[in-house]
Amino acid sequence: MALMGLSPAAAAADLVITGGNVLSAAGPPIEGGAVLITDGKIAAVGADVAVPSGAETIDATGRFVIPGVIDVHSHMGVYSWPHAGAHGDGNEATDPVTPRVWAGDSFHVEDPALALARAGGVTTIQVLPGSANLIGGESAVVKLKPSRTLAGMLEPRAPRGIKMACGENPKRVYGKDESGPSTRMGNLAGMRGAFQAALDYRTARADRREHTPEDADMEVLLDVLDGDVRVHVHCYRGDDIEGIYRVMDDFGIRVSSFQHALEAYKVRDLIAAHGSGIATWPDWWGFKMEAYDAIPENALLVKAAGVPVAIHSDSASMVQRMPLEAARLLATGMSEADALETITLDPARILGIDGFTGSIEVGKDADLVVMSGHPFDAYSRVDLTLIEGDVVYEREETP
Amino acid sequence: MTLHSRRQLLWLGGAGLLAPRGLLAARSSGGLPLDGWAEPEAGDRTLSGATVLTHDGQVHEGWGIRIEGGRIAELGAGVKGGEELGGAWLVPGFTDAGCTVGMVEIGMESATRDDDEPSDAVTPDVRAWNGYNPLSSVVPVTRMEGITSVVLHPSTRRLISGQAGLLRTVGLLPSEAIITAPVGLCINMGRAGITGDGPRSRMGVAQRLRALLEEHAPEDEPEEDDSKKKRKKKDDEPEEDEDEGTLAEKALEALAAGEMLAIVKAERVDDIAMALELAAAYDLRMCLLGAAEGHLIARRIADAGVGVLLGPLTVQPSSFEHLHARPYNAKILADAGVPLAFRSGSGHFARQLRSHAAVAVAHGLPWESAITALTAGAGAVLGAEGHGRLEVGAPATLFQIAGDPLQPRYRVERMWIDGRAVSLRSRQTELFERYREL
Repeated sequence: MALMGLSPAAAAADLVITGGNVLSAAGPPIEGGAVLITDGKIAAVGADVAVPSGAETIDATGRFVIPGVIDVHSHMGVYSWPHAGAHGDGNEATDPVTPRVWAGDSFHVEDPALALARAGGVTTIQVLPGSANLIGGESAVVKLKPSRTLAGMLEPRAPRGIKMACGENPKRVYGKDESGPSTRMGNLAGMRGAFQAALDYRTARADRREHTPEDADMEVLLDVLDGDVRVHVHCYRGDDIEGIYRVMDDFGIRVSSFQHALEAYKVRDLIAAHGSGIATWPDWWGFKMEAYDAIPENALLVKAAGVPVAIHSDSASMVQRMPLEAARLLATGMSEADALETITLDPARILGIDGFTGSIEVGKDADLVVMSGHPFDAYSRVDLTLIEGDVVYEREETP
Repeated sequence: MTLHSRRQLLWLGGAGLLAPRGLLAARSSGGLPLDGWAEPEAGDRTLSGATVLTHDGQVHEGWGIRIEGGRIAELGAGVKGGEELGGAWLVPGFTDAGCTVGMVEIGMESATRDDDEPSDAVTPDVRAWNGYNPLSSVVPVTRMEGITSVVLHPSTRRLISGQAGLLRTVGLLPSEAIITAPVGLCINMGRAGITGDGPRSRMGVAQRLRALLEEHAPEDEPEEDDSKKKRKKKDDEPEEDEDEGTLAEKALEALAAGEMLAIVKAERVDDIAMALELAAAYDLRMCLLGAAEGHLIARRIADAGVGVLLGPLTVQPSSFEHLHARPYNAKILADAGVPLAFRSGSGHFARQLRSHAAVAVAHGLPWESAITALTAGAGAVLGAEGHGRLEVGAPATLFQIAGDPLQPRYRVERMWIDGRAVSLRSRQTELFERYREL
């Protein structure tokens, strides 16, 4: 009976968020603006929005509406909470080159950290394999919809992405027992070797009759070489960034982003010229040698050079407070508009999903956050998180 | 040439050697004093027209502060003249109430770590301030965020890891940095107290602690209550130390006699309860460190008269030991009347202490309580009374900032410790200057 009375169209009825200060990440702030949502998409946004009769209304008067937060570097699900040896599913550290593995295959959909991130206004994450491997596997871009299945979260429109890593991590993991690279030169040689092997494989593929498990690696690497997979490279030092370009330029591979990139400020001209982005923290430093020269102005300087800069978490704790993290950029002199971009539109650009999320613009998914106050006021709380027009989090008063 | 300027030259001369890459930058500024002091000695000065925030969380507009001999000589609306601040805020220096600032230079480089003494599970004679390098690059970076003093503790990875100290974040030598040391003995419960050469379970943690307390209990006190009786009947415990009167013995005796504060790391609620049980049974003076699940027994903690060095507040239900960690922990504890201070539990991340406090406020802790927890809180919890207060007669340890110091958008602009200006430059500001233009 219910199904007969309630058509799918009615279930996707209009929703309007009224009266809020809309920070769209795509234009100037709109005071007392409205966001109209139809079929999970943003149908209108502005100070004068014609609201269809019968639209459900969320009154955001005095509150702030921002785009859903996007974290391009998450290990939620692949290192699920609570910490446990049995939850270590992020690094396939059996070989330094494992392009064939996919983070989605490790993703624990019931990681309790996911709900806490949602409560922090996060709507989309890129789940990455760890950084033990030179080529660690493909990423999974998921929306944080409450779901019992990966299929219910996975974002099919997102381009493929692959995780690579240079610097200390691969050489530490594989240098111990000499099963892989133990130096920076070994790291880069390992990458070159892998891509060259893929090219050789392509040449020989037509004549081969037998297939090996390694073929799966080669197929993925060929997709990378063909530009079908976005490349995200874990990389800290400025000269490591330069080294990655030496390899990738030779193979004609575009680097979509450097992850962590704490010394990006030293080579920001190089990054800008290559059209890559970076994902970084506001003020993490010193936890290892290649993080020693991190400075809080990294994001400021790199963004000023025209490079997309995402503030990422790499942490199931930090991801709960992304606006507060981005607020720290203001102390370096970054504008509020730019700081908002670092947790919304710039991460969307880096993932290649800015066509449908990352800002409050007509036609994009209604991935939105209603906050009790300005997003960069340290005391503001996330009141509502919406994904594709559905309220997926609503704040309840705590003790 | 003053001692101060000689120190600057020393720094500039050594910079290239000390820092293989970045710190060649030190040439560009000439303003990075090695010991952190920005003037040769404490200067008498008057700052007026300020928004003065006192340690009780009260905001006083149009106040002034007169500083004499390193201390606050006068405070209030009546203080005029001197330097007019145009409404800028003056804030008592913050204390990171549990961290390893200056004990670790590079996290993953063991040769640069002095925060952990693994030679034994029980090292009560280890002193945290002996692992403190006043010239660590972490110290100035920490100072930049308003932190003028730190409670240093050894690693929380041993059953009894050693003595904590209260240090100021400036000075050439540890002796110049020490405010009070020791302030307590660090005992680590739960997983923290479980190490390879020590107890291997919570049963073992409790058993070993009871045994140590029995063994070092004061001898000549008359029996008064059940807890004292309990001490007498357990003579079958193994002896920990054959030598009488070692420094370790003395520290444990001071602990058992209630002279040395027990600083007990406990996160899970049953670990906290066990700590309180030991405090009651052996008449220990105690504070808690961490206390992620403290909100579940806030009333008991308050009734025990035990304060909490809280945090890091960023710890959410990440492990089986923190399943009930909640961001409103601080609020519930404060509501119950538990004295609080905030800790980063870190070295390089001590800089985020302001954000920890802001998270607590966003989740219900009164802003005034958060300010107290960052300033006078550590002194109140540790029994170092007077520390962190902004009042007449107190050391003039404060900083200037454009607005609410918990708002991350504001940067600390100036700082004085004991009435003496300190530098807010650091390895990081030098790197910024160097690479500001490519």
